[in-house]
Amino acid sequence: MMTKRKADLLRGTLDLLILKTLTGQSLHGLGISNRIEQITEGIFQIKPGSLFPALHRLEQLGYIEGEWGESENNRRAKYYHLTTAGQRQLGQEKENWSTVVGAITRVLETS
Amino acid sequence: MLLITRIKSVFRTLFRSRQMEQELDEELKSWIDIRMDRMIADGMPARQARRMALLELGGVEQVKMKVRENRVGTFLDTMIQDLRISFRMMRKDPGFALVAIVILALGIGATSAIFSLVDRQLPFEEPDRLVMGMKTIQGEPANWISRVDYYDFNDLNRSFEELAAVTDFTRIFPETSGEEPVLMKTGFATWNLLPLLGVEPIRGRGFRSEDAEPGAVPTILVSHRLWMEEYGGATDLVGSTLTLSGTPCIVIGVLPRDYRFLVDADVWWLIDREGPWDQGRGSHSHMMVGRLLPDVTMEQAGEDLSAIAAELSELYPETNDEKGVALLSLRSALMFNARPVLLTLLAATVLVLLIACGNVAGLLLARGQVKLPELSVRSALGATRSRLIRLQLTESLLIAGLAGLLGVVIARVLLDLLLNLLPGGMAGLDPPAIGSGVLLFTIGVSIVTGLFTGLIPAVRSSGAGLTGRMNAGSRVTEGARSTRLRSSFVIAQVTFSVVLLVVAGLLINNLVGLARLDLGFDPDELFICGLQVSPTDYSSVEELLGFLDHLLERIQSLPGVESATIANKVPAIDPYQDWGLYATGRPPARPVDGITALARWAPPGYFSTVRMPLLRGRDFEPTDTGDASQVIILSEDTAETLFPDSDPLGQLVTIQFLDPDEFRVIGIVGDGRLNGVRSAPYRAMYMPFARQPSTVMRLIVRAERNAIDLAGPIRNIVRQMDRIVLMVDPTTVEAGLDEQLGGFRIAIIAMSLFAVLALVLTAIGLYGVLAYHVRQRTNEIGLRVCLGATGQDIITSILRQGFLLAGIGLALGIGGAMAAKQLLSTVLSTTGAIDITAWFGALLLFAIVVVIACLVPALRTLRIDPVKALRIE
Repeated sequence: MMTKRKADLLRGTLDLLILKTLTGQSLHGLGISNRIEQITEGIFQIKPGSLFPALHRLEQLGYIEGEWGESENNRRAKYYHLTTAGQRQLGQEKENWSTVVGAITRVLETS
Repeated sequence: MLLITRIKSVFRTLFRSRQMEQELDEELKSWIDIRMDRMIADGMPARQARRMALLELGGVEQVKMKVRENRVGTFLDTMIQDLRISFRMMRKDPGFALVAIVILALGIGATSAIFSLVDRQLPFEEPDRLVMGMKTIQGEPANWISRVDYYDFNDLNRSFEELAAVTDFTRIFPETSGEEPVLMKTGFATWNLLPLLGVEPIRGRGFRSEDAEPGAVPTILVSHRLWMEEYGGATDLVGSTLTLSGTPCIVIGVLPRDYRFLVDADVWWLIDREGPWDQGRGSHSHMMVGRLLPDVTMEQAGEDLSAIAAELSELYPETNDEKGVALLSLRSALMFNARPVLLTLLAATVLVLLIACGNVAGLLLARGQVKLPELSVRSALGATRSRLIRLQLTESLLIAGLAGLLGVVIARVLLDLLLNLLPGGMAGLDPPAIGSGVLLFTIGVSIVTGLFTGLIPAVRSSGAGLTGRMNAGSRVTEGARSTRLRSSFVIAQVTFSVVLLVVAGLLINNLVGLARLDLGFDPDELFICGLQVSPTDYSSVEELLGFLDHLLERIQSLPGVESATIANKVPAIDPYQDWGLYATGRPPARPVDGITALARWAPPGYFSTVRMPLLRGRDFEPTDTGDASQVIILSEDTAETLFPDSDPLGQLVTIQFLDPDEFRVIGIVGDGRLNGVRSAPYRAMYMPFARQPSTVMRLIVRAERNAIDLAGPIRNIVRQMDRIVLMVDPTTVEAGLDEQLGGFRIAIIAMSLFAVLALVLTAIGLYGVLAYHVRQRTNEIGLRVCLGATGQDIITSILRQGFLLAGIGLALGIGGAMAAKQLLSTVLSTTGAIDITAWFGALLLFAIVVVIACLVPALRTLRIDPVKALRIE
């Protein structure tokens, strides 16, 4: 039970990270997890087992779109980019995040 | 936009899964490649890089599964997948599937059939707002209402949209405007009955209040059947005039097909403030039905009418003292007699269904063991336990669903079978059909059955320890717990079967008792029919009587006729018409304290024809006419009640409704069940037919044999008479009694069928468990045989096992049967028959079947080749 909830929370956060990462650029799966790792200086290391389910779900929901293309080294890879709906969703998720953070901060400050 | 994308996604998940799988494969491969490239670029050897990359990925299949699980539309997808797998499994083992489906279908079909009998809908508008009213005397329900009282209820109530009256005494009117007289059964109703029910004539119009005004032209409504059969659906019937018993009536409308309300009539006549029955307030021949106003409850309406009744008691103490009124929903009123029987049947079918479920559950349990290797593989591939359970349940739901479909067909067949045995159905209710309500019920039952049947096997076979069973070579033996479960299923089945058997036996016993009941007269070979003469054909009573004598003479001279007589009603076939009476000079303190007796008119020779014993005094004689006709013969109970301390012969009694009303007692006859075979004997009083000759009467003829064959010859005589005599409904008393028992008889046949079915299913279940036992311990048996055990020892141990199971079930079943007997006391009329025969018969049958079910697997052990058995597979 506990693990499921933790996964949900993490998934929502992961969605946010992915959407933000894809703002303004197209990346393939590995590229996305590398970028996140880079920006967070190693704190978030997204395993494929979490990444791909999230990616595909976001794709099915219409927030990102995938296209097959060529990577460096001329490998075939699936590149994802943000859709307009995805952009809107990103804005929504950002707001949700601020709300959550604000609430937690308040709790921590009062006690 | 977003929605469309999502729908497309679900679509893709369901139908393009292979394509998606391929893409995902490629994507993961590309991930590995790109990762490898990086590591190789950093200097790692290719092989090592590949291994690292794979490790980092975490297992291609695992990732794929996670992606799959997270997909949109995944629930639907897994369900469809499960169904496909289930179908495939069923196709691989069609025998099992077929058996399971048929077994469940029988149970579901039986339950649906009975449910459709219980759930009959009233074909009227908003039928739950309809109530029926009856009178009560001193608080006790006493059926009919008087027309005069009805009009007061109608005028003064504030609870009903409409209140109508219907009367039950169908009269058969000859319609004489055509060439040949046609007989028409007539029903009587107030003008507002059709609007109250929400029924519209399909031609013409219904009655309006003006039609009931004094001086209005007589109008009638005709039934659909009459319109089609007698008048060929003529378009000009509406508006034409029919002459009923000499009165010209205008046909104003045709009723819808199959319309019936309480009375099965060809023609409906109006009730108005003048008639046609119940001239006085103290005469009660009507039924009252009402539609409640929107905000009024039945209780409130009941209070309203009771208040009116109380007022009437004050105003008319002679006729209305302690007379009240009670309401019940129309539904209950119409179903009243059938309800307990139907509920019993429903309980029985539920038991049968449970037994069937037990059988299929047992089968699934056994099969579950066989499927262990397969399930272990699935588990290893990552299927969670709940997923496995869901898979199993899908299979049993699939079986139950198919069984449900087959069950609907079976229900229809069963229903037709039962209805053929039902006489006439119940007036006013639609013949039961497989309607939407029943279908919903069937679907519900199928789902519950599927879940119920599949749950335990599903949980059992997906349990912990699956991983250990993966070896295809490991012997498939039934776990101890599984056996115990199956055994407890069998015990439950035995219990239910025993209950069903005993109850069926009790019902059969009851019916036999009823059939042999003493009716107070001899019902064998008694031909009966209705006779009607035209009132205008006779200028005096003597003429009519002379004519009837002549008719009886001719009938009695027919070959095969012992004797013939007439009366106003046939005993046990034509009920009711009880009037108040008291010993002259000793009237009851209040009218309600007096007694009533069934009023019958009979000529001399009646009692010897029907073989009702004349206990004291004398029969009527031809000389009891004119002034000497104020004589009466009482039934024993009547005489004893009126004259407990003195000799009734020669005394005077006063009869309600008659004028002059004093009669001298000249004889005492035996009591009889004049109101029907299932009723108690009721007081009766007989007066000379000559006193109240009616143009409508019943002919009763005692035949030497084959009474029904007299119909033809008597009809010929009737036709040849020089004046018009009409004969209706020729039949026999036996046939009439049969009809009365009809509904009861179906219940018993159905019950017996269910009991037998239950027994067969239980036997199969018992056999199954024992056979498995034998197979399981083949090894052990082989060993014992080699060590010197005789066949007898082995058989005994198997039998002991079986008898133990059956014995426990039997003990529980007997307890259950005794409880059931208590509950059934309403259905089983107390006839004094001994129930021992029922119990004995049921248990004997049960014992025989159990012994056979146990013997077969036991005997098969003899055929076990000990050498083979010892071989380890």
